[in-house]
Amino acid sequence: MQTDYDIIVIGAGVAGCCVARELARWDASIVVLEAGNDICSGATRANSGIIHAGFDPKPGSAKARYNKRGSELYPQWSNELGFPIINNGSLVVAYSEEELATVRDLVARGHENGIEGVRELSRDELFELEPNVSHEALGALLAPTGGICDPYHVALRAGENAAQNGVTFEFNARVASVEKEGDAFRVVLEQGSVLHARAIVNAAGVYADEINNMVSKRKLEITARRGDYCLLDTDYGPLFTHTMFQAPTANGKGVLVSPTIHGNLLIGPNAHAQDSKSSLATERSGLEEILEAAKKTWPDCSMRGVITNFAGLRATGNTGDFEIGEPDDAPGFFNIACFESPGLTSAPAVAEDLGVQIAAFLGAQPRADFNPHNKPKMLFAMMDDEAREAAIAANPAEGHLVCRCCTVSEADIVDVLHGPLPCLSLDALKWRCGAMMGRCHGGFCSPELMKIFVRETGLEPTQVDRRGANSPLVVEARSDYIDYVAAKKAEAPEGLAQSEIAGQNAIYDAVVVGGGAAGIAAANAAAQAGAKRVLLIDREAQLGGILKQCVHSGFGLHRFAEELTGPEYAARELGSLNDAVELLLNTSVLRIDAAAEAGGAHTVVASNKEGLREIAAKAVVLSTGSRERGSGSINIAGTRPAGVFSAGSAQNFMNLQGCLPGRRIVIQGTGDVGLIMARRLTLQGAEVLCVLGTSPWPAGLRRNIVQCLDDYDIPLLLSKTVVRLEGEKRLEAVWIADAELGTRAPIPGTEERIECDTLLLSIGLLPENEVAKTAGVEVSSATGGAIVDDTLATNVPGIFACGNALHVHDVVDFASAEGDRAGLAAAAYALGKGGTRAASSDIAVEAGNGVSYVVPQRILRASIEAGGEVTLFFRVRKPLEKPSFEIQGITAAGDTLELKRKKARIAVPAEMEQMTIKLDDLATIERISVHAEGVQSNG
Amino acid sequence: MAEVKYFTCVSCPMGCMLEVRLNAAGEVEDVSGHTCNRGIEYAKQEAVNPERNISAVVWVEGVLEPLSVKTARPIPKAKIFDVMEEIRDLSLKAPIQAGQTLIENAANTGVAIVATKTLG
Repeated sequence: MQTDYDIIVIGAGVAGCCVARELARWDASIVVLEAGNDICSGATRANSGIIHAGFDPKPGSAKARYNKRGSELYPQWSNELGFPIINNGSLVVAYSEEELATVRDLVARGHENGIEGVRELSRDELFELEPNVSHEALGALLAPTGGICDPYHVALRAGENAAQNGVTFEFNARVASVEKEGDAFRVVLEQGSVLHARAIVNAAGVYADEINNMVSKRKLEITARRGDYCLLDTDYGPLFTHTMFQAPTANGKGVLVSPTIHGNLLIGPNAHAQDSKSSLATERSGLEEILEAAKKTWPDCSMRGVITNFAGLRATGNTGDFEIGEPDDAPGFFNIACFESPGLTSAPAVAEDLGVQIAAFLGAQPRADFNPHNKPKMLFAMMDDEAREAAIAANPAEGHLVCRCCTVSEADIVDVLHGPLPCLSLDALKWRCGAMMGRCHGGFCSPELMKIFVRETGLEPTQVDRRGANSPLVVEARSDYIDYVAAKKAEAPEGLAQSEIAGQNAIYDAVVVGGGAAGIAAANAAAQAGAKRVLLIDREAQLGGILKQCVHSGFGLHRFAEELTGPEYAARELGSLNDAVELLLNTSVLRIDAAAEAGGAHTVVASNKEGLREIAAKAVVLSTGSRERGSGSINIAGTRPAGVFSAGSAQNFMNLQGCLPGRRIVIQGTGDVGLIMARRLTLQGAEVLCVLGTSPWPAGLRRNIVQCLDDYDIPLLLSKTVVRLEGEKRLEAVWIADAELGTRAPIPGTEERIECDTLLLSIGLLPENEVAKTAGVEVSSATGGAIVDDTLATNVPGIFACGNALHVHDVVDFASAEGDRAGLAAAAYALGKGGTRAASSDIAVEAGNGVSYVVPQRILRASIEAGGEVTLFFRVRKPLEKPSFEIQGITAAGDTLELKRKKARIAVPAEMEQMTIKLDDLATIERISVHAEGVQSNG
Repeated sequence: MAEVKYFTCVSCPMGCMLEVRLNAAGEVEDVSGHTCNRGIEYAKQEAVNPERNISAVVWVEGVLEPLSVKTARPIPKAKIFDVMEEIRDLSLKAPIQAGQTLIENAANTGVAIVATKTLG
């Protein structure tokens, strides 16, 4: 490690990275020392990401000056460095006459600060721009130059550009002391190394006061002010176009509601001064506070849609303004201190200023070879089809999609792991290429990412950190793990070559998307029904979907009258696969371009290592399965340590990679995957402390409670919920509390601490329908799956849905059976026996009293004319003792007929119910509803 | 003294609540609450000598993906951890065929451990 530099920059947040980039213009040796194991380990990482227009700071202040200049520099920096910005404009909305006066003052201040285009909007103008804003709004300030960015990417691209121009970055290098030694500064790191430099830049964030106070008598005092945030799913991003501020009042600045550059909706922050400068733990009260405050802007705001929460610390100084440049008594020591908002916006302007000042101080000359351009690899997600074709042709790893939620390719990941700045954790990887940032929170891709991370870095799996240094993702792995992943070369797609598909210019009768239980059955049934060309596409190398990792038994009792394990069930299904079914593996479907007219062919667009495929299909069966609900959906407060897994990803790590995810385990959620994992972990040597669920009854099958928990004396705690995580690196403890009956909200005062290193979340599955949506398939809010008729046809003619993609099944045999039916229907459609049969006279099927949903949601009049039977699948809302199920038919005249009634001993939401009715009975019926009545039980 | 024991049937996902009457000698006299014959068999077994199928994974030389294995028949519940220990001690090399017997008589239960997937 080199120890003598011209300049040492302390801190690699946005301030440090930007100033490093500007200093790189000069002939000087530079090192950036960062205490964390990645750039942006402080305020930059948890930040609103707003490029402030500059109307807010006090005229004449450093904040006002740098904000204005910074905001002007952003478009240029965005161009040169390759980070995206969106100029969405900012609004400050007033909801009372008093606030309207404040808004007018802000408009005047904006003019005084010289900010372009700032003006007042009338109420009508406001609603024109933002139709979803609260009707209480009276008017607003519009700042058209306001924008949004990803603060991490601003710092990343600036830091990379610095590194490309010769700046050294040292991570895990916390500065212990700085002192003047002759003409230079002596800097000692916590681990003992000593460095010297002629100039220092203090960009240490909340610690900048401590660094300043080591060398200057002009003492600074920085308070860490915590701001909590909630991030919402991309479904909510389009609700607002502008960044929506609330007019400040005597009670505070309010919270913002803003779209993010990634298309999510961001809510926050509040502001709470705290003693700790390192704790980024969120507080439940804080999260409730911001969601409540956001209702002023967006009255429908609730926990719904929240995918994660986080907290950031702002460095609020005692001087009321930024502290930039040399204190009088410390020449050569340059502060970027007290750098709270609008620090992100100001960073390029401060960097520009300090670059010139420091070069003058050192007498450094401009470098002729400085390259201001950083041309980062374009992410696969950002490419159009043509660019994707070219990229895959140049590098087959581009065609291998690892993170399906965010469309991140293997090439994207490898590029980041070998980028200009070291990538030392899965979190750094996530921030840089977006993998694991989507709805599944890495549930599907983190096991695959682990393999690539180990292969590319040579680390042992137990050395791969989730977040900070020493935050291992898994606690045990085989010692030769690395040999296997290193040997695993880029796999060619199995099955068909492109020539076979495109060469004959053939149109497939049926293309099945997703090769799990339902998909295999669908493809097989379609082929057996006479469909001439059937193609089964799966993203993995082996068919079977989630069955591959379900090594426990309990499958096949209905379909094969035999109890099988998951792999055996899959092998059994595949063993009888019809020869006519063609396979396309290691291939991800990106979208479906639905046929322009009914009866035309759909185009399935897919990607693999050979290129982009466009596959024409008369009928498409969607069997894309489900994903696990993430922790965001229960909004747990506290820290964000390693050791929190979705049950399915933990299952993958254990059963497909032989890694032990943890040793002392708490499982939240009483769904089947969690119960099964409780037993698997116990058998494999881990200690499962408890399984807890928020509702008063378990969500999983009764036999799993008996066999997975009772057998091993694992406590089942009902009406309990995890409220808080503890631990900076790996999880150290969870706090649980009683959950209120009904709302399931935690009851204050009932908290209890459980020491553990792992929390598994098994809080339910959601049908995966991203591909379906691209085709225009209508999705039910009750099931999360497509709305289908009795032939499993969606609203898009020729597109069918089955399996967990349609509604979550508790027994795989039924998913297969549904696949059979979808395959048959798809074949009939392709062979012209089906056609477009939906009619306005179709029967609507509704969930009545006590029933949460019914599938199918429609029965075709054409089916009734053909006769036969239809089976309705439904779930009860709550556990019922001695329930009675009734299917009612409502006639055109409004009369209600009992079509069928059935009694049972017990019904629970975890177990799907089914009832079959004769289609002949429906001739006079217009509408059907399914009811469940009984005594509510605790299951 | 006659005794009554209650079990949740695990033969299938129905999860019937079974009631088993035992006589003074500890023999099963009557089973109720079942909806199929498997329920009767399960109740008789569970009341006298509870048995379980278990499954596990084992590292195999030659492939990263561990081998999944299971008991060929149910083993006495009390023997689960003894059997697991023998499974953990297995030293295997790919290739392995699904159905292949890996242990003939696990922990003296008379039950074999078999592979449930093909590897290599």
